[in-house]
Amino acid sequence: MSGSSGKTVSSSAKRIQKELAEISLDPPNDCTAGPKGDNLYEWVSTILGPPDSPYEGGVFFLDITFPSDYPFKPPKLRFRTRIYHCNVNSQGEICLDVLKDNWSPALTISKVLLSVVSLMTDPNPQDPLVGKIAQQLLEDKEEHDKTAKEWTKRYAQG
Amino acid sequence: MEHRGQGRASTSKGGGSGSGGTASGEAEEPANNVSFWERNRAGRRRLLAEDRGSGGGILRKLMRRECIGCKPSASANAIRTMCVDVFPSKSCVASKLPDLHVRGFTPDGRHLVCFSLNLRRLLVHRYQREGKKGPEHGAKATFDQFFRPVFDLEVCGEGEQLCKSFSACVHGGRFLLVASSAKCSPARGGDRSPAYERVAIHVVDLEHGVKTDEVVFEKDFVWLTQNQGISIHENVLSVLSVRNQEIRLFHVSAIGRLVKLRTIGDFVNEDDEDVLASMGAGDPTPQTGPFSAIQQRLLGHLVTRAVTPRGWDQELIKEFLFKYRELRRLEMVRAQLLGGDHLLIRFEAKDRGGYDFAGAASGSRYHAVFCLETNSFCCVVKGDEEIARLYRHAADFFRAEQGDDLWHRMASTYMNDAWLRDTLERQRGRYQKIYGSEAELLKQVCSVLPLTPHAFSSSPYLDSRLYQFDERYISSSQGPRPVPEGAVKFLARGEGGVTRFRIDPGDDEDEQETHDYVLYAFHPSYPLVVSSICDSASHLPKCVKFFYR
Repeated sequence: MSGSSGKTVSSSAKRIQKELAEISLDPPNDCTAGPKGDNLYEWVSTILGPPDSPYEGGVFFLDITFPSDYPFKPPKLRFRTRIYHCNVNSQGEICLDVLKDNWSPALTISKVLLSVVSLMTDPNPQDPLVGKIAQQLLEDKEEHDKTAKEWTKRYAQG
Repeated sequence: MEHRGQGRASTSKGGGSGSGGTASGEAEEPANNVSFWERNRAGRRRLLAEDRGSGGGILRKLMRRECIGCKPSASANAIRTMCVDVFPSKSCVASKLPDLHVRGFTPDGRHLVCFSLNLRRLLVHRYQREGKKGPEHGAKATFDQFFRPVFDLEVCGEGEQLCKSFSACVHGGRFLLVASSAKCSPARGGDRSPAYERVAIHVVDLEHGVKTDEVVFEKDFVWLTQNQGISIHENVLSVLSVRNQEIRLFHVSAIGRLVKLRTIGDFVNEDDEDVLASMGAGDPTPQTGPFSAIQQRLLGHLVTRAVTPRGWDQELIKEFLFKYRELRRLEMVRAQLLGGDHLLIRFEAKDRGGYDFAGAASGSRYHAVFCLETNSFCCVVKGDEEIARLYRHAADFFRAEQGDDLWHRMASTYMNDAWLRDTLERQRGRYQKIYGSEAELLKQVCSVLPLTPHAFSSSPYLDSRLYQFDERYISSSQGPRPVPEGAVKFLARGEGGVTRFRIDPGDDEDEQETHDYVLYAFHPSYPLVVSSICDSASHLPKCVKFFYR
């Protein structure tokens, strides 16, 4: 039993190492990710607010936790920077399909981060975590963007 | 202070007469002969040379001041130079120990701040000695022969004690800040620091002898020793609360009230919290919740530094990730206002429920400059080397809190005096020997940063340009010093190392314990020093001595 579990751990570690090498060699635009110190399963990621979005100019920090049976289970992502977004709640939890039901072992952390960036550019008010913001986005996008911009300046400035 | 007024007046007069003489001399000069003016010019040159060289005594200096005058805005400097000849030449021991702790003179020199022995009352005195000559050298004297009480005031509440190494002045010496604290409980596991039940900073009007305001920090820790938790710039006071990790800024108004300006910590704008509350955001847990505003901006600054036009600077990102855990543990330990809109903040990594206050591991120490206008960090420096270099080359900038007072600005520093810089550079080896190594020397330089208000005495007798003395025993920075074995000699610099005067805080009759310490109060302009040796166990004064002229 212990042998098989050990094997799983080492295979997940191998996979994470491979992804780390990929992301270091060819980092996606506007985001970085890497392990916090020496723990391979605990990563930190930074996303620069995408241009032409209300989050432009902000620096967003995310904690990434890989499960021991990665890539068969999705990694857990959590915003550590406050963000005014209908799919991110005050605890920093993200509502993103690829992190839940649509997860596939073929996805990599790099692709997941790109999905988060695209979620920042195009929020999904149909599947919200914060109903109030989603409602505002649908009813008055201009006001929503104004508030999001103000929040970025207040809480996400680097 | 009369010193300065007289100095300026006579200096300008001297300068005027000098130039007048020159003009008339030129008019009378015959073209071909060695004239009176030529001889006079040679005399003037000789006078200058002598002054640069051997000094030549107070009479010659006075003559020079009359004939030549001094450069514009340098009158204070000229007066300070005279202090090489006017120095505390007499000393006497207090026959009866005064019932007080001597804290020090206010920067304008008008008051001597003392605390009662039970640390409940503030006692303010003024220098006014009996008789013109003062007590005979070596005689016994009393405290009252030198100082007369102006007022005494009970400032702190029930169960509190004043901190005897905390006092600062604002509004050019009109208001005095003192601090009191009650019950300190030691830090337990997981705590940031020890906590006081209550810390209060009081504002006292020195003109009228009344308390005008106070600010209270409940269940908090503010570094009170040697003013380390506060900073002052132009009547703006910043107080660092270590426990809550926030810097609170106050304005001391013209009537001595503390007006709250803003708080920097979890949030940087005053309404940040209200905006969040209006969203109905729940109280996040500290482990997984969002970063505090200071942390967000510190980490954000380090990440944006790695953004280049060609993408990410991988080396900087690697370094950031490698140090991420350490960076997350960083907490504000000290802060200083640099001018009106910048804060120099020292961050240290918390290590299992306590700081490395001794500063043994300088690797986990960061200095950062936070801009209050843009609410972001301008620079973040790790370790000691860079900040020590900055301090050496811009020392006056760090000391800006002394304001525009000419007397204070003329105190020589590494930055404003090329001669002193050269000398210290030549003596580098000696300093390294004292401190052990280059790294240790850097650590000593950095240990004073961020600077605390009134940390440096502007007394000319502590000016390293004028006097050379053993800085282990007496230095221009305040604080307890070890008791010297013999007298500390004050050698006039540049005058062949002549010993001008000696300061021996000990009394020949008393045997000093090895752990006793001395506190010195140097008057900012008069030749007057009060030394008090304190007992290491009870911290009560054992021997008080006066040095005067």
